[in-house]
Amino acid sequence: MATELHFDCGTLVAPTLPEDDTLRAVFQRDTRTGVYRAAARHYREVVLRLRELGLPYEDRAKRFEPLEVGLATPIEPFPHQKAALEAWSGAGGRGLVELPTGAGKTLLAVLAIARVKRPTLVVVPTLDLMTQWQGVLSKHLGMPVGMLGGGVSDRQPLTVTTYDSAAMQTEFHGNRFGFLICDECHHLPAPSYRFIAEGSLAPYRLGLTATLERTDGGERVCAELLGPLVHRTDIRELQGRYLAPYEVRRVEVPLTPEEQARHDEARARYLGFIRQRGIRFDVPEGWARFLAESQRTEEGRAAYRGYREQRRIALTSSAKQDVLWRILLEHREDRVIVFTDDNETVYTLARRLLLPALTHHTPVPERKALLGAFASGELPVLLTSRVLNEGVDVPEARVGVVLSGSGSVREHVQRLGRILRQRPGKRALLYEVCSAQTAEASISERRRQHRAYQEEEGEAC
Amino acid sequence: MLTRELLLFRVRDGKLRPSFVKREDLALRTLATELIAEVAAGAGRSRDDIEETLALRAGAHTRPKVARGLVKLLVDRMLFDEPSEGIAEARATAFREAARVLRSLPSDATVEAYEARLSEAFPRPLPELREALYADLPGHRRLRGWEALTSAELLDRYNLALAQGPLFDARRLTLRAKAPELLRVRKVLRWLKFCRLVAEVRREGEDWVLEVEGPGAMLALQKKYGLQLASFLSVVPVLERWQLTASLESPRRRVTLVLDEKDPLVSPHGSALGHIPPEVATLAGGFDDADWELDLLPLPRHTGAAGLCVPDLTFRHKQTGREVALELFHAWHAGPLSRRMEELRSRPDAGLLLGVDRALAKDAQERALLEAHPQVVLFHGFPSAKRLRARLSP
Repeated sequence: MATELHFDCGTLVAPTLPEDDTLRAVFQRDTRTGVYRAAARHYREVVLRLRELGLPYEDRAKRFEPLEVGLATPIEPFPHQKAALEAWSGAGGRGLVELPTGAGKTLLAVLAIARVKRPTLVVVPTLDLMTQWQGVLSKHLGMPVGMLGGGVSDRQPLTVTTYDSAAMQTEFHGNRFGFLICDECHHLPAPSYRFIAEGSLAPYRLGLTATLERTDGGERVCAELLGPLVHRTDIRELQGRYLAPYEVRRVEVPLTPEEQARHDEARARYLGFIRQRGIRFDVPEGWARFLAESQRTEEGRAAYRGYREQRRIALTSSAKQDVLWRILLEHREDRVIVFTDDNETVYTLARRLLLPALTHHTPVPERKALLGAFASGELPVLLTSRVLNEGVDVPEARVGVVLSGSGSVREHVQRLGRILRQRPGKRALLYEVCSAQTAEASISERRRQHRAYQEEEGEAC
Repeated sequence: MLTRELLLFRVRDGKLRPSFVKREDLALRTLATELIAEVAAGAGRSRDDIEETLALRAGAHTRPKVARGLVKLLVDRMLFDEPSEGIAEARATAFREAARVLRSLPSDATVEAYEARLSEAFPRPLPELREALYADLPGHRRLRGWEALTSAELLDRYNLALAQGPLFDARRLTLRAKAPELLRVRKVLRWLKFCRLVAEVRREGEDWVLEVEGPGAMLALQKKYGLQLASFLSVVPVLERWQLTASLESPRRRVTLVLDEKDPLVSPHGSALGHIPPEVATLAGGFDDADWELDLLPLPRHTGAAGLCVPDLTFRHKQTGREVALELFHAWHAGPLSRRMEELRSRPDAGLLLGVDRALAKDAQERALLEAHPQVVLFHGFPSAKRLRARLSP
């Protein structure tokens, strides 16, 4: 009897199995339902093994066939793109590619799709990236490209989705795509996202990122689920030629005496509480413990308000707003992206200065329109919190202003990446504005621990 | 459902017990009534406004966490309008005009000068323009309606949500149905399938024990089935007499959720249980055989790669204990019959007979195939005892 393979909610099921140790090591006997079961990601090795053994099998798992897809017009890849594509093909169509932001990861993916010719699911971190990828794939592959996420549900043989949507949908469509591309794949190791790759049959896999390295060693999970690192190009190899040269300016601004007094009082209240309770933020659950304990007493609630107040003052001081205004004025003929840590600041600035805000609340059509108007120069400024942190292609942006952010190195590098797309004669400029004598100064130090910042020119604004 | 910070429970001796509220608690009934009245009268108000009003009421209650939980369940049932047309367009126009003004400023212009130029550029006063700029944000949307319920029902939903919440940390659960009625078991099993869960089912005397988990739970997958397990719990109270345990894994500790029929849990899935077809009841009443006895409460069977069959009845051999289940397919079951035949081909199951209504075998070729199948009994109305005996003891 032929071995049957089925797909069941992100798993690969065989009602019966031949006597083969390799296959039996991949599957586990499911005593609940009387079948053999494995994670769907093992589909490729199972099929290859059955073929190697010359055993008949009936593939009822996959719901995809080779796809007639090719480049609408020829693309001449950059040398680093060509090298990455060949390395990935040489690894059997599985693996990770690390390229700096702006180095053309999307076009590399287009070339890979045209080469493997399989229905493809592209997974991206944000809705903005989803619409951007859809546009690029449609343009270069000349066929309709579907989207899943942000209220849009249109599955096509070529589909772009978000990590959040894919995590929920993989058990239903994990057998529909032969090629899985995870953009910004450093997200994949998150426990809630791993299933996207674990529960997918896709024999071909490509992980793309500018920052593969994770502090928790999650890059090993990427390699296990998508394949090994097959190509890497450093940001400094491409700067000037394929990426714009750049400059980072750090601007430290003082609080006004009145702001400083309010800041110090609120901070003392908050710090006093955590010291008294022995709460430490350098241990796991430290933050959760603070949140829980701060809600139990009036003193705790006052400490929590103190935490919020000192943070708000540091993030939105009047001196910061003055500096921002001067930057906007100085660069009013450029394209400027302003990054903040929270939506509240974005909307406050948007209302005050009548500048467009782009947050997770912005509907998909408006996002497209805003990015289009920014690209055309109709709008010179975009205010955003975190949604433009990653991957979104805004080649016209020359100036970035980090008004506030977390201590994450990755976030900071990705923000820098937004303004590095190459344009003739372009020299990118990243301002980092932080409040002196507040916790923000040390947060700023933390996030700048990356090689991209080692050659910066410090310059006062 | 309730978010993690709204869950109330106690842990003692490694057992987690939700802190259920009493349906008769006058203070909570009063609060629930007030909250519901607030929502019922809230049509047209903004989401931020309603949520703030409800939050203030909740904060003032003597049991604020319970009150916030009730508010959460109510907010989940609210329906808000879509953004008004034209807001995004008006916003885009404002931004384009503001960009023009910004570019026209001299290099030493102040913010105040910019604001003065904006005021000249727009027909509307600047404060009004700022106020209307993001009127379509979710918090500004207007209440359009809500899924109504009574104060008692709200407390029932709250108790169920308290029990469902911890299941988000569970990988599996064990359910013991104590001497259940057939139709109640069927409803639970149907819901199990609907939740895309699998179960190892065994009978212990009159009781049924179900080890329930997700299909991939046995593998080292990161896939969590917490939401599906929580959803499954909602049907469990239908059983009337039951006990449920689930091992919960959180980074800090390992505890077991323990629930049973004495807890104030009410299923929202209604009391309708379906019915036993009269012909099945007739057969059960009249089936008299020296070798075989008939069981109306058969164990479910896993079929094919991922199918679940809940047979209509099971024949058990009195001497050997061998069991043969019978699943009936009526005229409206063409799809399920085709699927089951496929599953039998994929994974033969000698312990399953298919009773097929002749209405499903109109085509001559199809009829010949069915008649030749050793596990199929064709019937008009209901398979006769004689035909069934012939299949049971060939």
